[in-house]
Amino acid sequence: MAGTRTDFVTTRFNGHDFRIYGDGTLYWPDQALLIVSDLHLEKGAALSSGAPLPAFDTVDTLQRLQRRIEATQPKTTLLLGDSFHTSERAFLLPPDNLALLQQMGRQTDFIWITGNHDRHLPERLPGIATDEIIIDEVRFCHEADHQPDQHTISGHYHPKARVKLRATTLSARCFVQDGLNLIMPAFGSYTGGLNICHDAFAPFISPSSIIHIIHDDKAYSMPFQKSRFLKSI
Amino acid sequence: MKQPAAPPSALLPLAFEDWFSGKGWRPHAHQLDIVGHWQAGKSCLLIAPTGAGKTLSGFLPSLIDLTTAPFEGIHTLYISPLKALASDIARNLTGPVEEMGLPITIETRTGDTPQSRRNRQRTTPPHILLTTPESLELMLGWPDAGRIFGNLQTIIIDEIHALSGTKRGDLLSLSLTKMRQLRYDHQKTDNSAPLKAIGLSATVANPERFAALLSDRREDVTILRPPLTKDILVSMLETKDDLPWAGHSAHYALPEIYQLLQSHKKTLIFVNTRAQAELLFQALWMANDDNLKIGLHHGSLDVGQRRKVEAFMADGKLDAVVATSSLDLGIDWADIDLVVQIGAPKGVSRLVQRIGRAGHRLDKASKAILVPANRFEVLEVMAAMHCVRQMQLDDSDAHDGALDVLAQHIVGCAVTGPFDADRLYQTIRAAPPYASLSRADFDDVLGFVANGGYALNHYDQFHRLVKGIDGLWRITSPKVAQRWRMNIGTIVETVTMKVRLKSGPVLGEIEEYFVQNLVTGDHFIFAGRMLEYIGIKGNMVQVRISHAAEPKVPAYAGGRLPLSQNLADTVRLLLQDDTALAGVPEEVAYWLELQRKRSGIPSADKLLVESFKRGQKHYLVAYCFEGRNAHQTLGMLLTRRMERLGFSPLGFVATDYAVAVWSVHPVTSPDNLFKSDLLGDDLEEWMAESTMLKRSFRQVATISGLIEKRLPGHEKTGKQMTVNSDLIYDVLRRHQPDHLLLRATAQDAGRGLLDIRRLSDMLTRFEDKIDFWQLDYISPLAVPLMLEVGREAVTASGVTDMLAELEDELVQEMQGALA
Repeated sequence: MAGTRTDFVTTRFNGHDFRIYGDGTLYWPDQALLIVSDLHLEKGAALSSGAPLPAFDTVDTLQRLQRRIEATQPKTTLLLGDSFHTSERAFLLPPDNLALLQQMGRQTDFIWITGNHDRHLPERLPGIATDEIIIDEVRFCHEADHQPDQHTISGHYHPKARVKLRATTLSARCFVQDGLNLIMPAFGSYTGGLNICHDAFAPFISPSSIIHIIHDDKAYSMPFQKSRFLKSI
Repeated sequence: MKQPAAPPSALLPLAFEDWFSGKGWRPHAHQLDIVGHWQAGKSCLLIAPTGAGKTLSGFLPSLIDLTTAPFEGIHTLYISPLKALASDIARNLTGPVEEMGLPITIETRTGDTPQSRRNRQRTTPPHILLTTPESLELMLGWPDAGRIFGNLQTIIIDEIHALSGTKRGDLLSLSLTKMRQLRYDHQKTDNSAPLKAIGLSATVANPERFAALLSDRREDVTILRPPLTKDILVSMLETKDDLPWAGHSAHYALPEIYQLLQSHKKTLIFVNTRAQAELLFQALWMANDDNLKIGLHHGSLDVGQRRKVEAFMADGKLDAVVATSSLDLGIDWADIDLVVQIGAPKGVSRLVQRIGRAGHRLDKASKAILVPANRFEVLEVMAAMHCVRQMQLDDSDAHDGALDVLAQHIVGCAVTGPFDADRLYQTIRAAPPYASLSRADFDDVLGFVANGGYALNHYDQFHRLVKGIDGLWRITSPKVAQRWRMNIGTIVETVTMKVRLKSGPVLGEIEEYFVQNLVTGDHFIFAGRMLEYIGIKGNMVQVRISHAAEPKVPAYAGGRLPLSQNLADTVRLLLQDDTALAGVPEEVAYWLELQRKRSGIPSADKLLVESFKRGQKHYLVAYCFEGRNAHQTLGMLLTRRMERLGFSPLGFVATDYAVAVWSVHPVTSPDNLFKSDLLGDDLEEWMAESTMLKRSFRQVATISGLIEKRLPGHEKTGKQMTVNSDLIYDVLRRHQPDHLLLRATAQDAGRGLLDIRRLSDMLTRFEDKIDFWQLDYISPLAVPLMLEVGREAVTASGVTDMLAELEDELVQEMQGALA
């Protein structure tokens, strides 16, 4: 029943146990490592040129991240790239949002993986920046690039699934997992998604793929079955 | 020498008299009346049945004035709710003008007008310009609008009722007020000829409200109701087969409907939804032994296809057309001798409008036959016939002007030129829907338009308007104007996709939402054909002709209107009136008799509530007759309260007539349930989470200019360049729940989808007046409702349960496959 579910499901990837949380974050208990992807901070501001959008998305995203950090107490927090919607906006981050980041930086060590949206990051951010990192034979980078025999956890694609339920359909963010890759959903409050039936996901989707759907702060793991996963247009 | 058909009138120039008499006609008294009022500088609201020469009445003063003295610039502006109607009127008007040889230029300007003609219209405008509310608002954004419309003499608003109580009506009222102000500023004097407005309509329940729209001085408006009576012959179809308990297809009446087509020359068949139109059209073709020529017309069909059907109908090449509200408004077709309404009419004014399409001439009676699709609808149909005979029309509520529309209009004002906020506030209050707009609300809207009005201050760089050192507000860049022009209007279309026959033509557009649920090989009915879904190619839905037996039917949003208050009240009275009930079909009379024996009959002064057990569930049914939307809201509120009181409710279903809730434990007293405090409880919390609110928010965000309209042809690329409005809604709600856009969203939903006012009136009216029956079995009246169970929307917690189910199911399948 829905009420008795824990707020995460456990999945095994390259011999390690990972927790998939209902908020779209990933936790590796053995390493006390929290992983989160595609925050797209300052997206609201970046897209406000036509009309001012409510730019609460940055503070909203950061507060949700802070809650997860407080709940799991990770030693390290790894951000898998596209943490900012544009590099330019990263340099213009308003002071209170920067302060929020710095406060979290005292609770956990940030590692910023750079992505296609945020090649350059300002020095004043807490933590260190790199383009990829390998921990205990698991590689972390922004975009999966199909290196053979390389177990990779990445972001970039913003996977989203549309499933057929009894009387309705549900569209929600999800993790996509196959033998070699684990692709994370976007965490940012203003980031949309790309349906996993889109061609871009073809290399990662097979009948043996597992889809972890995130809905209402709970995670649900299920094998990919073509007839139950619908395209969006 | 020709003998004039009417005594010469001092008002009519000779050319006009000759023209009338040449046709063997004479002007109606109300046509001459309007000329008289116009020449005295007064405005008029003309309420007359179809066929009374309303259009000519509207234009006659202008035609005469333009003939009598030379005129430069736009003299008369005609505004119609439909583009097609504007073009049709232009054609109808050009005829007499050419026949009389009058030196008058007439042109249309709508979204379809080519750019070259638009440019020319600005430099050399016609005397008479026919347009739509959206194009008017756009033209008022020209910096030289004051000069172009400065000498305008007349505004004609056709089918004025069609805009009442809608956001489009709000926008039009703002445009008219702005027009008067611009004209006044341009002339800088009160002495010149006043602007005269003429409103035209066949069906108006409350003329005063429209009079206010025509002029800011009520004493300048005359309401004309010429004593023209047009006979309306309205009856209910008698059928051989028994009336079904539930359903909306009226399939049982097919043989009789077909007989009607055979025995009439031209029939217009109205249904309530596009889905019903497709189904009925299909069924009629199956039964079409006489090879009657039957057409199909609804808003999702390709425009070319619709125009073709209209032209065929006009030329007398069709015997019948199955149509939705797409044909409600009046393009003139001669010789329709019968209108058939399938399914419940839902409102009286709309029904009268539809019936008016038959016998579109004053001397011919309008003949209409109503076909109820189920037993409850029989009652509704009888009530509607009573209202039609008494001309007891629906009165739409006066409502406060929408704030998102105001936001759009304020940008438009700044696009025209710099404005002073105090003065603009005064001008806007002259528009009737905004008469009671508070200064605080105005300032909020202005703040939103200027910089978003967010409670966060580190993004100073994003402004649409700024206040200059001269105290005037102006746009920050030409981009603001451009974006406003691209997004003008209040109609936010649902996203649709073109449907194309494989290596064949485009058939029309279907809602994206429906396509998303199709799997290759699925069958559905569209554009009158059975189709098989092949897939998506480019931006099109690819289909081929199929011969499947059991198709899906496309879902169209907004297809169903709730039962009007007027009609609902009449149904309640009808149930108490034995003489009136004497006319009901036998099986319906028996059904009601049975209900009377087993339980109560709904009445005007008490609310009938029943409880009974079926299977393992206990049902509670309330016959409120307040329309589907209000009942949905009531169902949700009842379930929440029953949850708290320990009844463990499991679900609910709502129709136009009643709501049923089922639970694990029986309700033995309705005392704590049907109270007016019900609305206080959970309404806000539930509203905020509801997906309906997200839909309303998308509309509000688009109209107010926060996000752009999704234009056809602009495809999503891998990474979207915009932010989804659902995401904005969630974030804004968490961080600034009292933001203007959220207030406007709640206002919208409360008025439309949730119908909170009707629900609250009902709860107050019946407080402590519950006629409660604890029954051993299901009651006869509850049967139709039970047949609707299973079609209802799913609650939020339902989705979580179903996700868990899906997870189990798929995991087990997988394990089965591995074992």
